[in-house]
Amino acid sequence: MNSRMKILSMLSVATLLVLWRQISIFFKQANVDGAFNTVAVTPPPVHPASYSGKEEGEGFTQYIDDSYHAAIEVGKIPLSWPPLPDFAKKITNTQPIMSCIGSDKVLDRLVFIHMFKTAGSTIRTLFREYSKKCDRGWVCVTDCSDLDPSSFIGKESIDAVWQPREDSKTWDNPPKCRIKDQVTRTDSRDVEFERPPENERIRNNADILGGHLSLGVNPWAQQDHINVRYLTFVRDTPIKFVSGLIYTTFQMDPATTTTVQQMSVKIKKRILKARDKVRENPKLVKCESRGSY
Amino acid sequence: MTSFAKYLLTPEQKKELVDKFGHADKVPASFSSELVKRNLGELNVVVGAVERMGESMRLLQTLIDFDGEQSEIFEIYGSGGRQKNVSKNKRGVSSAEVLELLMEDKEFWRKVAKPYFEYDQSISNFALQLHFKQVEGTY
Repeated sequence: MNSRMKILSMLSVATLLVLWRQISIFFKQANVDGAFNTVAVTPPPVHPASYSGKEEGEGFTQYIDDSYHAAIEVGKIPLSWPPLPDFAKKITNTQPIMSCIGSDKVLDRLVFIHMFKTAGSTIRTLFREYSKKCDRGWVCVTDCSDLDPSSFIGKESIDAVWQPREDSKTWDNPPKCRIKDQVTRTDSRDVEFERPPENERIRNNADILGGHLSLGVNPWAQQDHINVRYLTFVRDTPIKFVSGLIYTTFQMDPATTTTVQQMSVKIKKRILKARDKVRENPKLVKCESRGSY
Repeated sequence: MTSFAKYLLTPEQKKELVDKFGHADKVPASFSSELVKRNLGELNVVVGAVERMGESMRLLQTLIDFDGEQSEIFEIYGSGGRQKNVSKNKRGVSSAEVLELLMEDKEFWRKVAKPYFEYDQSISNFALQLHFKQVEGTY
């Protein structure tokens, strides 16, 4: 009996020790993962090149990397990021605005703001396919990100043709804002491609409008009963920047044989040049918006 | 101006800024980036993320296909992970490889590139926060 008791008490002590060790490991892990909203069950993957997180040797480990990239990997917003301000806290924009088939099922209009190098081809193809299957009007425009406000403001704008902003003509042949693609509803007419968009035609033909345009573009602005909902896609800044410069380089010279190394040198030079410009005049921009980027 | 200004400021705002500062390039990025964030929030912009196409497609489907009749399209473009590649990248120069090479020069990356991206990065982070919140709101 005594020996059984001894064995039992030894087992209990061993179990307690194992439990204590597990609890210690758990809290240690929780402390490391504490940079995120909740304790991750498994630690986020370690990025080969620390991305924009804190580097080892600075008293941090990569587990508390609080970059955009890490937020994507972990699926949570890091606690170190400032909370959303009040003006962005209300979620009223995930309410449905239309459904497939049935004209009574279009409540509002959707305007897709396609920012350079952010899944534009994918989304445009999706809208084309969706509109064909659902008998919805899709109008796609391009080079319309710098328009004059008069295109949408005031009663006269009801049938206005979209006009570029006068001071946006900074080079000899600025790209012209134009219609690039369309899917026609059965009850609507074709719009003319390569022509500047007109509010009336867009209103009559589009349930979804999209392309390289900006917030505030609203052909329905003078119709009180119709609201527009804006949609855009975001992407991590460095990769978007690099992707944009590669795209532009090959657009300008499709036959170029630029390598990864050469492209990296070119981008480095560009960033350094911009840095020097900012040094000369600190009020100048960082990450300037010239060209396609 | 931040690179987002081209798309995420309204035509009126751009005109006002150019009138105030003389030229688009002279608008401080700190100023325009705050305006962009305000627009994203106040104009109720729905935000998708290229790196989260599955969630973004579900968000988009709640907007334009609330009966779920066309789930297949949204699955093809992201939800089901069978993302249809429509881009025409035949250039043989991968953005990820170039970025990796740039980041290998740690001194350059920390002291020059990161400060260069500062304002755009703050907008991307803000927009990603909105995206997460909106995705949460659809469940």
